[in-house]
Amino acid sequence: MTLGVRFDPVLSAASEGADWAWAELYRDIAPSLLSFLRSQGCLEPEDCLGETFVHLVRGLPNFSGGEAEFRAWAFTVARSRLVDAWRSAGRRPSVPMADPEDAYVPRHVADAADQGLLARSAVEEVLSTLTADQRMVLVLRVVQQFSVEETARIIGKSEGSVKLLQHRALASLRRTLASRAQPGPLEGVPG
Amino acid sequence: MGIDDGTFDRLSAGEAPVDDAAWSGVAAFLGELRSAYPPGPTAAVEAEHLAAMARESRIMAAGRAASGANVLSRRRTRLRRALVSTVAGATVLLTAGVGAAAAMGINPIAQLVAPRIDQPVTITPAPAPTSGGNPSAPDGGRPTNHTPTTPPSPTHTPTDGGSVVPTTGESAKPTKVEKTKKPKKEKEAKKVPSDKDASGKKKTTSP
Repeated sequence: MTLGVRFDPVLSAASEGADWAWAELYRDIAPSLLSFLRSQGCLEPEDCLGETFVHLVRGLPNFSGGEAEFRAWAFTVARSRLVDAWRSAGRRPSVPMADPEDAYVPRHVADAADQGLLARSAVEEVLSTLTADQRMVLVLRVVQQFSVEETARIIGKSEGSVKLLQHRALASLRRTLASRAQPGPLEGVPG
Repeated sequence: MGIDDGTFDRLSAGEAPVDDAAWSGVAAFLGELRSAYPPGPTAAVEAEHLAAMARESRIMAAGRAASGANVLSRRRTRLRRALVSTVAGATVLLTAGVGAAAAMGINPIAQLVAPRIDQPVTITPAPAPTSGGNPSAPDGGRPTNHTPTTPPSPTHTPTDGGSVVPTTGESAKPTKVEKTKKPKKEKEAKKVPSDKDASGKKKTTSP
């Protein structure tokens, strides 16, 4: 988050219902939340994001803390919405994502955006070998840069469990990558 | 394995441990993981989400206003309930007390009222009437010769309205004592005329 010293007055205004304050909070944290929801295989990440912020509005009277605590709380709410979405969809995020190559015409010349898609596809293919909890811990720790303590709070587990999950995730990645003997996921991509 | 937090942080940053080449692939992958999920674009859905948040905020504000009025009425209700509970509890205790007293054979109401009624009656039987008063008489001897320090017998009817004021400080409670003692004294008094006179000499009298 980038609000810094402005966070407290913005949060105070948001608690009083100021629309401009909620807009600031949304623009500050929504992109990270959307990235997190996508990384966890949410089928409709934008809808989950909207529900997350509605719940944040509802729960703000019970929140107390600074910017870091607010960010961790937002991710906690996002995770809850994600779990609800999984349950209603009847699927788990460890199921591999659809091949993005099916999404466009084969004659299409790959550009940077496509390469990004392909890169993400390769990453997701590796991530699909992890359990849902391992995947979530890895994304929260590596991509969102949360501490062990914050990650534990977000996923509702102890710090020891988080450390164990991240160690097992890394070990699983090591085995998977060694078995595939991939020097790099982008090799072989045309263009 | 045994990856500590420092090693994990270095791996997250894309730095592989120099002593273990197997981890270089993991370090590279973690770097790709970060770039695979950059902050997502929200411009397309921002307006819709902000509108939903504004609606929720209005609902919350309306709910707070309504709950403010409810809090006051809830306080009044709580106070009323506390008052009713206290009165009910006191009534129950009082009833229980009266019931217990009645079970023990004590008339609690009489106890409350007794001092006023019995005051005139708190008369202990006078000692042996030296002036010829008949101890066997219902009044146990007129108190005319009786020194004011000793209250008259309880059988005295308060017709003169005040001849039996307990000046010695004997009150209703002594009345009880008096009552309990009365039979003894009465018995004694009765015994005295029946067996002995005041001096203790035996008499040949009929009971």
